[in-house]
Amino acid sequence: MTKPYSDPYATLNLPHTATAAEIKQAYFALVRSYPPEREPQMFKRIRAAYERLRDPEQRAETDMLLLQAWPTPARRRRTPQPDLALQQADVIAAARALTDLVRSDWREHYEKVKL
Amino acid sequence: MAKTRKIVAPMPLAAGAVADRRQQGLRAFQNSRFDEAIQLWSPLAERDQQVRAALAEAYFRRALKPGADKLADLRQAAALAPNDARYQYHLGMQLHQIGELAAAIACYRGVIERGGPHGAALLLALATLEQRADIDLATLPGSTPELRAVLAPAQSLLQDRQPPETTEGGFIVQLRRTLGIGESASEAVAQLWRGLGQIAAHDSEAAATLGDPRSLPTPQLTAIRRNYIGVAAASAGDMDTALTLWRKVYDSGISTTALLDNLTAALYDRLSALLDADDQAGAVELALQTVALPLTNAALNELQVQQLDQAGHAAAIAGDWARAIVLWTAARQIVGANQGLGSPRPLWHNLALAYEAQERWLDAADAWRGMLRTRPRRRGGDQDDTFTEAQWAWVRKRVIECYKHAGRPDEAVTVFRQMIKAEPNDLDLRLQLADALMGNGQEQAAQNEVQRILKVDPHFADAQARNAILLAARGYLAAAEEALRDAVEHHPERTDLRSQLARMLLDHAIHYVERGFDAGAEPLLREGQGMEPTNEQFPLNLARVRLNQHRPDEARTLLDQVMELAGDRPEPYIDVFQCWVIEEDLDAARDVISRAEATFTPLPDFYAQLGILAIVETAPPPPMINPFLPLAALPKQPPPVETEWTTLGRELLARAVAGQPDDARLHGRIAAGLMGPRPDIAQVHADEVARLAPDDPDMLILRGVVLAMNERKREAKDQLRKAANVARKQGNRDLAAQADAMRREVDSPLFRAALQMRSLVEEFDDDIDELF
Repeated sequence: MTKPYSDPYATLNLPHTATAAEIKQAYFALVRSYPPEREPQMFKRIRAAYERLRDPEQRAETDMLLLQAWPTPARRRRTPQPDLALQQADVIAAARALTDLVRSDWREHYEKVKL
Repeated sequence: MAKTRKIVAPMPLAAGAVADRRQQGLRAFQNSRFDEAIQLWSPLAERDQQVRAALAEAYFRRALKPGADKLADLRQAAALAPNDARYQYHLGMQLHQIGELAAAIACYRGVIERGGPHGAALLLALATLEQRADIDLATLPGSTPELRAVLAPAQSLLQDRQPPETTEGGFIVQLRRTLGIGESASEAVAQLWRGLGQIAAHDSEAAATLGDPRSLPTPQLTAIRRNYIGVAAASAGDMDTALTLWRKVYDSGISTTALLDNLTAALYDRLSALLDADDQAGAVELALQTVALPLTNAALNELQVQQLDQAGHAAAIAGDWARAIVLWTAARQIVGANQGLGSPRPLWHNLALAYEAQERWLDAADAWRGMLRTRPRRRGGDQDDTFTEAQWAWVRKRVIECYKHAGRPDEAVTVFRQMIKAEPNDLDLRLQLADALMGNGQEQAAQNEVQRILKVDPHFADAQARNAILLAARGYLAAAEEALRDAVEHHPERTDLRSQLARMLLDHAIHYVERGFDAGAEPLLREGQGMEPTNEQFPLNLARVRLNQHRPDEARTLLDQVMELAGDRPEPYIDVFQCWVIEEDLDAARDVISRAEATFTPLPDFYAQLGILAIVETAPPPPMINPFLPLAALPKQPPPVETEWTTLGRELLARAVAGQPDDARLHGRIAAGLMGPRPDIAQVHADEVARLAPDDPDMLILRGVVLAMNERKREAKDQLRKAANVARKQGNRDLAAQADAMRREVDSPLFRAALQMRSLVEEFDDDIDELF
């Protein structure tokens, strides 16, 4: 088990599209809720998340290190339905399975070669 | 004289050589080395009838081996021995298998005419039936009532009619007689036809009929029966059973379109049911188990990929990156097989990050490269690309970084060189090669590559940017700036280029300021400020220039500007504070603190840094060491002097500690920062460090050093011994040896002198930072 993934936006309860002002606002709101003297661990996490997003350059780097979500499909696809009819191909396959077509041992057809 | 080349006609083989080849071929044939036999006999076959027949047999025997080109070999055999019904028969069957019904029928007719294998009549009837379901089989050569009875169920079903009653004794007997199979197997076949008839009629009895446990004569029939038991189950709403059975049918080697469609529907149904029951783990396992199935249905694949991707995220958040890799690899496999699902870019991205977390650098590099391949082909075209140029550049850099981590920076160069071979006119690729060359330390080759790009497109912004970096690295700062100015001029929309130029100007200006060349720095800072007016580093360094020029009022205006631009970031306030400390303007320094407190809530670290600065920057320099005097005559540490700055410093440190009194890291930072100029103040914090972190050997060493700085040598030695013991107990031998070495040096007059030197203290301070 290696270091778990952490998303600083999630720590600050923000979407990835948050503006710099929103990031700052969220950070201060969380610091008020988790002051360092009472919640040192939580505060550390909040502070670390904020550090990764505060500076635009650092934020650009952080954004590239975020896991990407598979996009939700734009439209609903048609649910696949089973075809429960008898297939002609299967009828032919069944008939073929009664013939030499499915046989693999043909030793009786071998002929000795004499030179 | 011109030489003439003599043309030699091929010589016919001598009689001895012919005999040799015949016998060699025979030996190869007898040892089943048909390739060799064919090679040896082929030149002789035209003139030697016996060899010709033998060669036909060799082709025939090779055709029956797995992996052979059956059709080609059987055609050869039939051409060499056109009267041999065996070859015609097998050629007919091969053509029949691949759907060449007319050609197969011709072969079968020929076989029947020559009285060949008796199966030919049945196969002729079947091939004809496959062509035309309403054919009167009695009109075909070799047709018998038994043969027609065997094919009657198939013929009826192909005409959408119910098959004749197959469970009657007559049909069973005819089956046994025609096919030479046992009674039980014949009855099982009869039941199968009946069951298929019921499936065609949507009769719910089909499940019971097809559930006949008796063995069928061939595995193909068993698979067909299993498939339709699945169909019967699905008709009754039992999709789970259907999925299990269809999966088994697929695993037996059957992959008809209808089977794959049904598997798709059943799998979708099962996945949806699991998700409706909130069993995401079950859904993910099912998606993983079925990833190799060639089911390319968009709805199913989307569901699979979504589950795998979400589970990948959950695994990564739990730190199980290995599992995340398995899940995202599976998702990528599905997306790769189904183009309609969209770009695999997010999956490549996640995979690359997962490989990096696992330190599988080569795999990570491959994944980043996979991501690069998802980039729209045309640069600047109208294709939708959610990534910016800067982001693509970041990915390219990452490829190179990963190869570097893997100890293979050369690999990145090789990779990009290979890509360029395929697309020599792709300037983006050439730029990537330049980056890789830079990463591999081949600056000159990188420069050459960049020049090649600029020759083709002199205003290619990224090439100009790389050119500037390369020029700056070689010390041609003015030329580098000129290259970037040109890039900015031609690409005003590229803010990244402006930032790069601004940063370069700033570095250049700081280089001048540090050397006292203020006149050179100022225009660069002014130009940089024009590029990045919100970057406070420009007014900050302009203020430093003004202070050097003893123009504090102008500096004040600039430093006010720095604080306005700083917002809630503490670092610029610390820089401004340092300026006023150096300028020894106490009121201005206090004003900085007030302004910071009015703008944001400073953290303890902020006060600690200001406190350290106030004390360190105003402390008298350590006494000079005269290298010509004996060690015993080294100057003593002057007694500490209390000033208004030390008062401010102490006040700030007290505020820092009040915020986090039990934070060993904070105390450690203060102790390390002050042990050179004010070991007495440092001691208080070093004592706290040792109290708060008694099992941390680094902290104990720090206290030992501070004790030594305060001339409390015995206690220092005891502390360092204790630190060594703790380190040893924790298995950290290097640290233990370091503590022991320091203990032995405590009595040396150089020990304190060395630590007092600012550079050493600062270095130690960095180490302390790293500890946390």
